[in-house]
Amino acid sequence: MPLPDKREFLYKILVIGELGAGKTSIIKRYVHQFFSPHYRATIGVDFALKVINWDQETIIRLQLWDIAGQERFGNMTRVYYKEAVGAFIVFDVTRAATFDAVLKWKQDLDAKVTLPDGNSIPCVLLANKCDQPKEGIANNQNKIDEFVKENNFSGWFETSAKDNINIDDAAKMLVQKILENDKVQANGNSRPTSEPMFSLSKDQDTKSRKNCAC
Amino acid sequence: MNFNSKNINSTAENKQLLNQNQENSANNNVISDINTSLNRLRLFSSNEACGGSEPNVNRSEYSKCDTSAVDTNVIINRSATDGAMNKSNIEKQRNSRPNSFVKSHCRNSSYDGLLMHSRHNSESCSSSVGSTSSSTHSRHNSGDSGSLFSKNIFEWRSSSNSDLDLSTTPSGGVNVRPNKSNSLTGGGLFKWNLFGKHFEPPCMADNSDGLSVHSNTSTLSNHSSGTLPRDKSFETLTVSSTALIPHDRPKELPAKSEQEKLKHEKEYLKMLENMKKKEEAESKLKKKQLATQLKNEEQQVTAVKVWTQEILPHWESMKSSRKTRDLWWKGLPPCVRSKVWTLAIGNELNITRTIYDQCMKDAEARSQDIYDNTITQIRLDISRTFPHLCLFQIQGPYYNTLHLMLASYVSYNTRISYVQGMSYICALFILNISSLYEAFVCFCNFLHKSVFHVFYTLNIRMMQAYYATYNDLFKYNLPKLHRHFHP
Repeated sequence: MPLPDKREFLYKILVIGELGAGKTSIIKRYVHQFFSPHYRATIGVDFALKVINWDQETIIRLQLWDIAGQERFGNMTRVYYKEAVGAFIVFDVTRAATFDAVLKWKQDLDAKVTLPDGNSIPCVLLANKCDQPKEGIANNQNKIDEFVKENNFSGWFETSAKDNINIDDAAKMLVQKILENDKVQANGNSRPTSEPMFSLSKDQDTKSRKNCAC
Repeated sequence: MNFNSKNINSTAENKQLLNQNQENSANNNVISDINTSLNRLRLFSSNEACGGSEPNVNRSEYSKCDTSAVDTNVIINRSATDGAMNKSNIEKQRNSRPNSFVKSHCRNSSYDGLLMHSRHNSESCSSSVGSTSSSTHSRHNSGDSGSLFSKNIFEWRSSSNSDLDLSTTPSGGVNVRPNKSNSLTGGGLFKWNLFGKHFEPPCMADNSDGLSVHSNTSTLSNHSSGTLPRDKSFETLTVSSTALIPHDRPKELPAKSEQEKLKHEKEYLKMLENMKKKEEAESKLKKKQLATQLKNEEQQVTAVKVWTQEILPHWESMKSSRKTRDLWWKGLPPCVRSKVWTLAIGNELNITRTIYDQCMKDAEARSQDIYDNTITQIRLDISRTFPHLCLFQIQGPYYNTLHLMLASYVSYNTRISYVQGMSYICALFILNISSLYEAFVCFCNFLHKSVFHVFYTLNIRMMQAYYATYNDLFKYNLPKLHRHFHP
């Protein structure tokens, strides 16, 4: 029973990455708890809504924007990115080329959308299809850790939409970041100090360790 | 429908089915337990073989139908206990049509016993109030005049009908005779004895067993249409839910009280009544659907005629006429689609066979290159094109075709190259246009002249014009919604 004082948040989350990285599959798994190898290619953009009962008094609605992976639609992304407060960038561990494009997507994201205070929106990197044999950098966890730190990601996860690995955790982490940002915004709209940044990297470290265990 | 008692001829095949069931074929009173644990439907059926040459055997035998051996078969039986002779009466449901086919599925079930899609036959219940009946339907080959079970209702009634002969084949057929001694008139005047338990025939439904009947609605439609493919190998029988034999509690449990009995009886009758109503409504609906379908088919036939005889020969003059447009809006019949599309799209780009061959060659060479980014993109999208058709999957029939076609377009128009979403358009042409060359011509010309070209080439001025037009149409057609978006 929703209490009258229950808080509700609606967050727009982007899911971006190269074509065929598994963005749609991740969303379907996360929202519908379902996997199929037969999704159609996303053209333009698709949407999904996930409702999370975050805690006793918080309901969070995530509006997931599933954005087509082909570069062709690159100049449309500004429209899609508008008012997003968080993002997943997805790459496919079985295809090294999809990792090479991650930075391009991150830069595109940071260039086109920022938080009201000017900071970049929290972004979690997903190394998808981790149930399959990896190619290239995906084999080297430390390198990815480094990459994630260098490029100001909130963290990264090895995921598998097929086997439902780490997707909920990744989402949890992103929502956590978004909530923190919200608090910072609420607290006198001050420019965020280095505090959240520290907590980011701390969190990131623990998450990385988690990855190693899996 | 008529529910006269009818002789049922059993083909050698049918007999085989039956015999396969009755591993110990000598004993002919077989009770097959149809163990439908899923729908909790219990059917007790018996088959009594007492053809001229075959002796009557009184022994009841419990056997599980093995569906794996034959496609399906059901032996419906019911054994009466009041006497040495267990007899059953099989009624054949007669269809008004001479060749009516009844489809029924009895699939191999994962759980032991038989999985039956049994349907409740309303007529049969009406004819057998106070008794239990089961209808058995089988699909058969019409050419096989001897083969039967076209539509049968196995019904056990109290009436002392004339003998029902189930078998015609000399080699020991299945002969079913009515049980003269059993009177099922009232509710619970006598009891069946199965597995040492007493069963009371029709008067009450055993609620604990549930009457969850898998209603096979398709059966009904197939009756009426009679257009089922005749598949001899798929000889199946369906048992109606009325085969449910309401019975007493097992011996070891306290018997039902009179009151309870009556109550159950009432409930059972009510269930039958409801089922009947439901079936009637369903059959009405089916009839209606069939009529619409027939009408549509007729329209299609006329449309094809008009297209092939009037419009296509005079395409240039007819193409923008009112008549053509109207007909077009109703949907092109598949057989003329290829022709009409080709004509309507034309070949402004003058793509010749030489150009096509050249592009194909390029595409083939390029598709070997696994590092080619565009080709990789195409490859990733092929199997994601109309995934539910299962035509474009890797190793699917059109996987290579679509790949080549898109790669050819990349060679043909390097400026646009490949854009996600193209695969759908291309797939439509491949599926609908008879020759690949023509499909390619249509595909290229279509992309060239349509709105796609504007968006694929990012022609900003034209894109804005399209957006403006869209907005105007939006405002005109859905003013309220438009206001919501453009406050």
